[in-house]
Amino acid sequence: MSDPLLNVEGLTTVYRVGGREFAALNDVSLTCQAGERLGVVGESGSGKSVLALSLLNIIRAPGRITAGRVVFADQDILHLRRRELRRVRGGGMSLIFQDAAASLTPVYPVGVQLGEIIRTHLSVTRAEAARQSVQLLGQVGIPEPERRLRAFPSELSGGMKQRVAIAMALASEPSLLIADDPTSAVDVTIQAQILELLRHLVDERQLALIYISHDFRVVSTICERLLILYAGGIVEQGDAPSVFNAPRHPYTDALLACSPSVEEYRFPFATLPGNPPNPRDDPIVGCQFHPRCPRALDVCARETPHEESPTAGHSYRCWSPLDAPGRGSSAAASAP
Amino acid sequence: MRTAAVLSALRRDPALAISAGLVVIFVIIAVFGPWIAPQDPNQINPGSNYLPPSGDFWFGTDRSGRDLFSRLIVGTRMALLGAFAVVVIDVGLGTVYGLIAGYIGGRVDNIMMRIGDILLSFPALIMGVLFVAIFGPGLIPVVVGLALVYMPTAARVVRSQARIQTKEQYVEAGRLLGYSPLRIALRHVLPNCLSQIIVQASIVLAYAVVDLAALSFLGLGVQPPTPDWGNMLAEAQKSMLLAPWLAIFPALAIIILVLAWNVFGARLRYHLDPTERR
Amino acid sequence: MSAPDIHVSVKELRMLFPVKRGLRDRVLGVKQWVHAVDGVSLDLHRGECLALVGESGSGKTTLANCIAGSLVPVAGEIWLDDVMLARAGALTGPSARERARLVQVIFQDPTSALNRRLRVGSVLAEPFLVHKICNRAEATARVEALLARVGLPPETAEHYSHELNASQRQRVVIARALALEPRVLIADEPIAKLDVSMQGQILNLIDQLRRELDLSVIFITHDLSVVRQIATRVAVLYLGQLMELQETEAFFGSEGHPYSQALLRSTPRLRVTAEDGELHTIKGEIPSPIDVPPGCPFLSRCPEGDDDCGRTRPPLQARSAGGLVACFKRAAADLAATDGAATGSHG
Repeated sequence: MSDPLLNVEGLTTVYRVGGREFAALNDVSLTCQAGERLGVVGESGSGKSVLALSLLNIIRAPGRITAGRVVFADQDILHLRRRELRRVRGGGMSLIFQDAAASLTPVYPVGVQLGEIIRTHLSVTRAEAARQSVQLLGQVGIPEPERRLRAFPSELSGGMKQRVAIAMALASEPSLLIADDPTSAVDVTIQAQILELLRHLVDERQLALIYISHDFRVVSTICERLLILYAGGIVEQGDAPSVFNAPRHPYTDALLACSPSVEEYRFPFATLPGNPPNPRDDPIVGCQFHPRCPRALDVCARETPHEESPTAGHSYRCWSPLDAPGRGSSAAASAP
Repeated sequence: MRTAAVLSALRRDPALAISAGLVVIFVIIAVFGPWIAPQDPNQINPGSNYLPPSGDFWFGTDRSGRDLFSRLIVGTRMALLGAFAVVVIDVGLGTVYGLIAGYIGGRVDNIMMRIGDILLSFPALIMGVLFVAIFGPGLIPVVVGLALVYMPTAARVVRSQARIQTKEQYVEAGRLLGYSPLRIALRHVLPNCLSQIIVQASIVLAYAVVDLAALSFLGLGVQPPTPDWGNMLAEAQKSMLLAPWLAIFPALAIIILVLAWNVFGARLRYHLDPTERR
Repeated sequence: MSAPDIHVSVKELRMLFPVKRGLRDRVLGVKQWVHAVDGVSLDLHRGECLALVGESGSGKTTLANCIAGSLVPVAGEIWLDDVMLARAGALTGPSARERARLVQVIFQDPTSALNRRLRVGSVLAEPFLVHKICNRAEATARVEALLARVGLPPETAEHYSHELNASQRQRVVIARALALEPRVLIADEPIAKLDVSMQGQILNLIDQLRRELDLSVIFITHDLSVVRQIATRVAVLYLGQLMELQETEAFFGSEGHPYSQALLRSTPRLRVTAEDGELHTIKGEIPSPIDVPPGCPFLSRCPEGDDDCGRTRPPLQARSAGGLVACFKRAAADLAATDGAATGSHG
């Protein structure tokens, strides 16, 4: 296997909250190959958005990256000069934001904004940029792309805006696309269309995709490999079917049990008691999940678990993992 | 918790600390001026007229030999008192006006804001002159005139914030719970406009200091012999070349006060408005 | 099957909004209307949880706002038991205060629904004080009882809303809605802004409250996986029109309206297989509700529609398996299957 497109080792991002330091991202290591669709699942506060920003090295105060390496296409992202970094941010890696409207300027037509990106990154003529804009809008499934070039963002529906945002992310011809919950504000029908579109684009262009979401269902629909983030750390990762059908970490199991399902009646819902660690409280020693964990042992409160990988393509960090075989819908999370 | 936040903001933000310090000093001078001043501001010293700054008269003396330093200190009271009065009337009226327009919205809002625009189209000084023409010279007519001219600006700030708040779901929740419009406006919308109102007040105060001084300079505001920065400047004008300190020190006082308030207002806005910080 | 106990009845409800016009339209005198709710008749049974389902722009929130009394319908009637709540152009019957004790709303965004300048205790005490149910001292005890009801500790009263997490905030919003002991609760996408891990808690709570307090609940959502868990019946709206009305079990078990099926197929599954789980999408987006075409509103996106569907609007018809559907294709299929037994039109 060739070198991965993205290789992250021990990435740690720290924020100052209320006078003390808090690791929003703690010792995160991951890889992503070209053509691969990697899903990152986590609750709010798990550090999933910080991960997206850290990969692009756009963490702003009060946060800073304190440790780790991000190697993307043989470039050390955390030690690039500003100018090179700019090229990587818009070119090699593109970010699709949760809120599409926020990534579009309301005062310029879509075509102008798209053209600007194309000309910045590919140094082509205005006419060529316009031609490529039309092509891009067509590729992301916008009907009548010529006409839409002149449309202002406010004239587009939420789904259309998200498509334009995707077109903008593609305009610089990236090799890695990072999508931070891009469907959380749209209807299920549009969500399905956008997921389908992303999958299609990844296949067609051999892109790598990192799809970040709080919704297990969405991530598992589109991603081949899953990574579960809790309190800034990866608690489990592996091939989607393996993680999904036989989760080893109690948190993954609880998250699955909590998710509403269209296939089966599972009322009342299992719930996950407690809250994720609060940055304002004292840091938790040992496994970050242990105060909420139904399987916690004494050791969990003392030592941080190591990464275990009994089977290829599936690893977890837990002192008290679930059994390997069988399906994951065990009673790890307590029913009310 | 609140005081701790204020203290930490003061520590981290030197601009806020310095401007707040100056503001506090000015307020102390305004309150205790007559006791601080080394001499009686109206004490005429024949034979020591037009003296340049010296150990006896720190900022020099004027035509009648009165101590400029003492006059400046005592004049602070008029400058601030007038400006505060303008702010209280302006922000008070503007808040009520803006809250009504913003909360009701629609056509009422439109009409009220257009009336505001008309008021706004009067230059502040002209309005001051107009009120003096009607009610005679003095601090009160000038203050009322200025407050009326500034009022639409305050109203507009409150109104736009009230518009934003009215779209929040807690307002709809209040309606559905059967709360009266007055209750929703005063207990729910108004407190959420407070930070904007405070900021507006600090901005208007700086404007008011300048405009009040300008009207006094024209002889319309505070009447001599009561010491006031504006009428001191007016007198200084006659002897600009002979005794430039008479113009320089009152002008400096106005500049420092206005600057301090402006910076204070800007920093206050930064700290009170969470969206500004991101 | 015994006759259902009808709690709220919506009759031929119509809600239009004027379109914001440019200068040209004003000069030409063109007046356009958004047909947000376009002739919907619907009953809410006592003690049930009726899910209103549809994409944004389907009119589900407008319909709910009419029932809550936030909007005055242009045509039609709304009845609660034997009291008329609204008719064309006017709210009728109870005053705003009386209405507050009948119908309450749980909002989508708990952050926006709570005044961040007030402590939770003041937020929850206010309904009691405004309605003069008790004095300030007694209100404290009532607030505690409310907090307990929604599973929050009494200390919560001392906190400001921004000190709580999203799930706790939504519990406070629910508690406030319950303060006046309403009979009907409208939940407007109450979990859309919550993490999946917290959604279940809120759904459990709403369901538990419905059973314990015998509430009739209207649950608005576009997520069918939520519908399956919480609803007893499902109403599907599209472009302000009712497409299908069905018992939840039957809705997920039978071949419903093509639009319902499209929604169902678009909903992400909680299942993963080694090969790519294909997502079935429907084409296009919900069209503008300004010029609604004469025929079936769903025709432009329907995989089964033909020319006949574009001529007249399909009526809501009772299905042989129960429920109502507004689709010529389904009606024809039912007819063929049951030799024309059950095709009485409705509404």
